[in-house]
Amino acid sequence: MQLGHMVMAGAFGLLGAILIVNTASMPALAHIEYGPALFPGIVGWALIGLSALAALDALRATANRAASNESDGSASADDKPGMANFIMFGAFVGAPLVYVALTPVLGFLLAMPLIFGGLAFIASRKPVSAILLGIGLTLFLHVVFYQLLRVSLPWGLLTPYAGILTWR
Amino acid sequence: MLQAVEQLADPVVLIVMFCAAVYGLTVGAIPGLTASMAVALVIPIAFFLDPVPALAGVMTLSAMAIFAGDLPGALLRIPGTPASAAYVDDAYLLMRKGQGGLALGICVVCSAIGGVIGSLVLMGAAPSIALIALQFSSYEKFFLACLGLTAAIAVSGGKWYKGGISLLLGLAVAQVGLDPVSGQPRLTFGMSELVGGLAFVPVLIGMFAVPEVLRYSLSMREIKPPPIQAIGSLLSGVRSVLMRQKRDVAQGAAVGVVIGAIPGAGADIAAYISYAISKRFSKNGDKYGTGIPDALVAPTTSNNAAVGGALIPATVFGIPGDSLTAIIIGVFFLKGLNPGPMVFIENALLINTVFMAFLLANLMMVPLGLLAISAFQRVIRVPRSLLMPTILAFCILGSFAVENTHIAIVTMLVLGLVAFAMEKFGYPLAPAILGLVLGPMLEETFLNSLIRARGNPLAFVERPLSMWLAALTLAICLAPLVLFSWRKLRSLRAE
Repeated sequence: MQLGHMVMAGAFGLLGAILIVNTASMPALAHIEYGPALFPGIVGWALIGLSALAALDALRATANRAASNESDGSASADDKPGMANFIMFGAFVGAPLVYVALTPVLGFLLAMPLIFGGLAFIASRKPVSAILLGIGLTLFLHVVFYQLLRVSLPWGLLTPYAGILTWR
Repeated sequence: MLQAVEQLADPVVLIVMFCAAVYGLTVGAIPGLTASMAVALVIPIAFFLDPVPALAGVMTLSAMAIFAGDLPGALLRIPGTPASAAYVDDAYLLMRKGQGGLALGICVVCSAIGGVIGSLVLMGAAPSIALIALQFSSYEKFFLACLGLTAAIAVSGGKWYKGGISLLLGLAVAQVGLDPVSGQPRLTFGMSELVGGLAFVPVLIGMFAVPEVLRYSLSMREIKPPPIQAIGSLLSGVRSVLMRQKRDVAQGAAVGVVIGAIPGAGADIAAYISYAISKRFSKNGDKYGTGIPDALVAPTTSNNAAVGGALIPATVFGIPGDSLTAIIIGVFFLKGLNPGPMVFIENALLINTVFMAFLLANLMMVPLGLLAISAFQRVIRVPRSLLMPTILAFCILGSFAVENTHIAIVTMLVLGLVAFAMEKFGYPLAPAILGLVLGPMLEETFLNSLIRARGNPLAFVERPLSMWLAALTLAICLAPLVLFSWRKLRSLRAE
């Protein structure tokens, strides 16, 4: 768990460094010596400073635990996520990316039931509920966002039928 | 005011408010789904509505979601929103004693009273404070933004440096895009999609809704609903409890408004403080936590009053009191209602309509809340394995709808993963969202002040008011250090 804290501190420190490096070469404003790099510079240095503090605190906590021979207080074996949880986590993280990749090709009406029906099946293991959710959710979102709010959703393979399937 | 009432009487506005109320009551009642998440998910729809129905709907939704958090608290001992956590034991134990109707009746009536008082204070105080705020120069505005951000860290709980990192992350995200003074592209990494900055809606949806879905995926626990039980008469006995606890109603409302107005505090902290004060001064204080009706009055009044309190600095200065208000401010900006003292002159009708909508929403809370209590036992039976994919679908489409680009979906996912990791390792999210909202104002006032002062930093503290605000900000920054040194000194002396 302390390793996680260290990684988080490192990531925020890195973000601070990126802010400084990326804006350092930006030209200052006319007549004063400050420019668009000033504020990101302040934020970047502050991020590095506070991240160092967070990393030090994580190191100190590890040392204190080692000295007192305590466990790190992380979850017990029963509470720890298993392989099914990681698959589920991967599916939830992957779903938006699959949506980005599939909708321009298949179109919203075909991609959505596949992605969200599949996701519901992985989560519930109930095929009928998953299929119904996939189709019902797609139709509901299509009516609300495309037909009522006029958001342009991609038609993909169904482009030739777009005129028939639009009622507004 | 009459014109504001006329605008609210439009059937479209009333229908939107009703739908927002039902949605707020439903989402708020589902354990783990916060009021902030409820508002974040509905922004894409608000984006496409006219300003009056959109803003009235968002105000209604935020008022209802805070109350709805009381429902699973009483029935399942799981607070629906963090604002209901302070008194969850008392509500649940009252339900176990067969007094569930009384517990939920107190919650709905006190929530409505707190909300109405909060909205009346908001309607009275905000325009008066705005008159004073009109005198502020960019120096005062800069220190006011600093004060808001400092207070946000101070009350965020946990380790202060984690609050600081969270705030800096929000400020960093706000800097992507064109520099507000010189107009040069910054932190865009050569991507033309980032020149306009990271879109607010996908960032909000990512930070408030996606972590909830990811957390579920790693635990996949279904909440076992209790058997459907008779709750009993909802309003019988409420009047006598309220008459007995009049002082607690007043205390809850006052604490709610004041704590709500402090940036970073919000409804949950208001409820905890109000509960503690009530317990300290009640003659039944030793019975708090064992399931007595007296324990519910002050905190449940307080958490709804806090929403009105938080809207005072939000509308007058553009400084949100908590993450929920930060999201509401985001909707204000989207609908062209830029918060600040000038809004009461340039957009007086719209802001008055928004305030009236908030008052009306709180009045609607009693009848709709009573209906929600009856329906709630069915709402919690929706399996999470179907609910979470539905929420993710709304996240994706909501992010895409506002920006009409797939980059928005990727932004939502990345920020969602960051927020998930932050919550896992104890980094509070509220300072990040305040940093995101206040970042542009902070930088703009800072650079404009420097330009006005020809680069002289001392000009920042030459005006008396800006000097006081600077001193207050510094005091909040140094307070933890002074307290730490004092404790260390005392322990050394004791040794």
